[in-house]
Amino acid sequence: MEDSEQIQNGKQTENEANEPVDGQETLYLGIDIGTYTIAVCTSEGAKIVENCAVAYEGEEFPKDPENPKVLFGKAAFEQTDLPVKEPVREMMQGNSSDPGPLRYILEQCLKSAGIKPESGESYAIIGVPAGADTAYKQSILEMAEGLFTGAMVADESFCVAYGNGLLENSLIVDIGASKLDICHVNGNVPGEEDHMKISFAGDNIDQELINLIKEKHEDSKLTKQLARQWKEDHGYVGFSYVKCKVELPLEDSSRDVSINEELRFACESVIPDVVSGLTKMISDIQPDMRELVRNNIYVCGGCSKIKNIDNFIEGELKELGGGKVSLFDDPDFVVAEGARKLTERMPREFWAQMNV
Amino acid sequence: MSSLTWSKNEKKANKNRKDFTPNIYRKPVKGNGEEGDENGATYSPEQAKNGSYRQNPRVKELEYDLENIKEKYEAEIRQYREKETVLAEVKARYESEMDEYRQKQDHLKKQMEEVTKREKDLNRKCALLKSAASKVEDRIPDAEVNDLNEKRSAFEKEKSELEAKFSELKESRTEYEKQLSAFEDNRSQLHNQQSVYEEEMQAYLEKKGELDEKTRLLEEQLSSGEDITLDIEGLNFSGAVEIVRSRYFSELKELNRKRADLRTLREELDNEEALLMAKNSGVEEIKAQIENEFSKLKPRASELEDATREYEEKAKKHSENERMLTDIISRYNAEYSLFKQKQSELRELKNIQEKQEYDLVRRKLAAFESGKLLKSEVCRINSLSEKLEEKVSEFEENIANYDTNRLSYEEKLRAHTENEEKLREAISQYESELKVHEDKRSELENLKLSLSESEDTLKEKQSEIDSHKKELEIEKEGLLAHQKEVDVERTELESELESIKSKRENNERLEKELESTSSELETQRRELEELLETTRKDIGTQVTVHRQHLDIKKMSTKLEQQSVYIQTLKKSLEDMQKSVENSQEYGVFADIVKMNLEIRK
Repeated sequence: MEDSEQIQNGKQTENEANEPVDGQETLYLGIDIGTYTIAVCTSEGAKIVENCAVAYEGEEFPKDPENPKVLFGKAAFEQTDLPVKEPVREMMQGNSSDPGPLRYILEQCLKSAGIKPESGESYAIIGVPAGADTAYKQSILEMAEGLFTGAMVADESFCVAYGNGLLENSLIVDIGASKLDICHVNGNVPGEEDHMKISFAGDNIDQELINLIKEKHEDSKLTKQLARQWKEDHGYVGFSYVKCKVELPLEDSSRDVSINEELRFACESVIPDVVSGLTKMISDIQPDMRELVRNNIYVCGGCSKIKNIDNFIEGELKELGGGKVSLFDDPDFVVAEGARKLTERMPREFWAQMNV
Repeated sequence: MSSLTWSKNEKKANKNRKDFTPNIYRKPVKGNGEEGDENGATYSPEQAKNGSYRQNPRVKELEYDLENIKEKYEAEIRQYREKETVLAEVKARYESEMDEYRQKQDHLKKQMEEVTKREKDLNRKCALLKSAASKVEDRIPDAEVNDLNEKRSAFEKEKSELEAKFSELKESRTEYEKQLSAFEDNRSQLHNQQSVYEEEMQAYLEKKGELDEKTRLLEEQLSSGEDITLDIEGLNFSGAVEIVRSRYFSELKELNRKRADLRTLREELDNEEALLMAKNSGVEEIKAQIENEFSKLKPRASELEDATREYEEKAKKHSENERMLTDIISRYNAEYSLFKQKQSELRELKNIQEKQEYDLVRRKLAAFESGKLLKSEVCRINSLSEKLEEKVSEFEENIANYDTNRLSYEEKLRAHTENEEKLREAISQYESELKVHEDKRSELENLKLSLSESEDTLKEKQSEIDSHKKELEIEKEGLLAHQKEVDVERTELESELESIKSKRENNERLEKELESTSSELETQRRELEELLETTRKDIGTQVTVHRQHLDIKKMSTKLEQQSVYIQTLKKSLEDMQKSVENSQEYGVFADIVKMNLEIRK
């Protein structure tokens, strides 16, 4: 991976030659708009991650975004007065095509990091799920319109593979909040036949955890947000020495309980889908390439933070022919970083084509 | 002095006396009184009157003998002096030769010292050489050479393996290049087809737009109730629609076919790419293997280099030692030749010395013989002096006889006077005779005077003889002293001869020692030659090892060149990979852009 990083760092100089002479540096951004989080990486080195949620009154997003009653990110989840809306989820489900809330979140994220893309030339590539429909992609491009000099969408899995030099015969497993994508990257932008979408993902784990805890503690009053928090903080698969004790909210009080088993069961609930998906994907690949691909599996997405998930998947794969599963060092920014690199490497004439 | 000589001399003397004395001067025999008396009767006053007394044969004989003796003595003295001068010359020559001999002896001694010094130096150098040779032999053990050979064989083996792998890599590279070129061709074909397809697509879209426009117009016309007329003669609406449809479907079919072709081409391209990737990975694996082996080989190469460096140092030292050895050998040869030359010179000098010694001995013998002769001469002189003494005693006896004769004469004279008295009577008779007698008497007195004169001369002669005798005694003493000196010289010569003998012995001993040292040197030389031979052999083996080492070096340089070539190939491969990646990337970017453009549409 380091080699690819170095190669790509070396390649960065190609676009540096295309820098404008007026003194203003061109800003390249890589954006990962997930269902639950939004992550931004810039060519200046800034990295922003925020919950992709917004809270506002009413059904329609206010036209004046400076409205103090519009909250975004973590703040949106932390309040209970306003209804929390996850614009990506709504857009993906086709419930909404308004890119306003998403644009607002992105703008606020950039603003919080002191980035002003409108002040100069700025180009961005936004990661979208591999199997996302055209309407969603159009909405994303619409959202980015006017915000950057040029914007494009690219498959998240491809961005991951590109950013980490895994363009040849790799399987990228993206366990997000709302979906589980398994994508076979083989040099090109993956097509429809190269990826598999499974609807069991992080949200389902959260729900499973809630259900399991509810089964054990009937009087528990557990929210999805809290279950997600616990999953992110303590989630594990397989065996762990760490005892996971949480303060379980009840109807009118709370109780300290150990949720080790529940958490493990909940987290492991995604593994069969992942393994079966991987097996399916591997079986679709040419037989002589299977071994290569099998040993080149990478897990990313929010659920890749679940402890021991790589070894667990590897263990499960052993019974089905084996394989090597790896994780990324910085799973929050792995897509955004890849998208940034893609942005930086994208030739100017292509950007020009997009601006026409 | 034997009695025989005496008797001989007496006989000789008698003979001489018989030969040279006339009968008239014959000495009257002693004891022959009767005869004497008879002879005495012959000494008549008439004989005395005739003057025969004055010419005494005995005196004359004695005088003659004395003269003969004197002459002989003088001749002997002359001979003796001549011999003495010869002896002095011989002595001077002997002394000069002795000086020369001493000088040569000194020279010889010096040379001997030099030779011993050189021999010592040579021995020391030989010891140094031996120690150096042994050190050299110790320094390059067989195990090391074997180890080097093993390393070399292992290295060659690895090299051959590497070469085989390299050839495999080369073949795979050529295959890869071929495939890459084929892939590039396919790619370019695909691009061309894609561009054609895009152009056709564009045309198709344009036509579709036109058709749509026409359809719209027709629909408008149809809705407005206008008579649908086409620009084309003989075509009504349904026909036109059919034509358009058929054309549309044919174009669609064509498009689908092209799309299918494109897809198959793409699949082929993908397959080729996958194959290429697999091969690439194979090449990578081979490369990794080669690198692995190269990394394994590197420390060995460094070990080999170290060993080579050590070997070079040893070879250098060995060559230095060899050079030293050759120097020492050349010096030894030069010194040995010098030594030989000096030995030959010494031999010549020895021969000369022996010759001189032989001459000296011969001369000594001659001197000894001359001394012997001198002694015999001295003896002879002594005998002659004794004879002279005898003769002197005889002369004295003769003088005594003369006295007796005179006494007898006086007696006779007295008888005469008595007879005169007796004759006075016959004075008258003898008055005339008396006068004669007085004359005779005066004559006799004259004779007497002459006789006294002769006596004086005889006395003078005797004194002269005495002085001669004294001189002879002095000479005898001188001769004795000279003999003593000669004896001393003889003893000295003997001692010198002894010293020469001892020196000769010493020389012989030295010669023997020299011979032994020369034999030792010869053996050492032989050893050195053997050593030289072994060192030459060693050098030969070292040279072969060095040559092999050079070959190894050549091979290693070749390998390095090949590795460099591999590196360049790797680099070019990387560049190609980069370019492929770039092209792939470009394709990817194009795909993304296309996707985005499609989304925007």
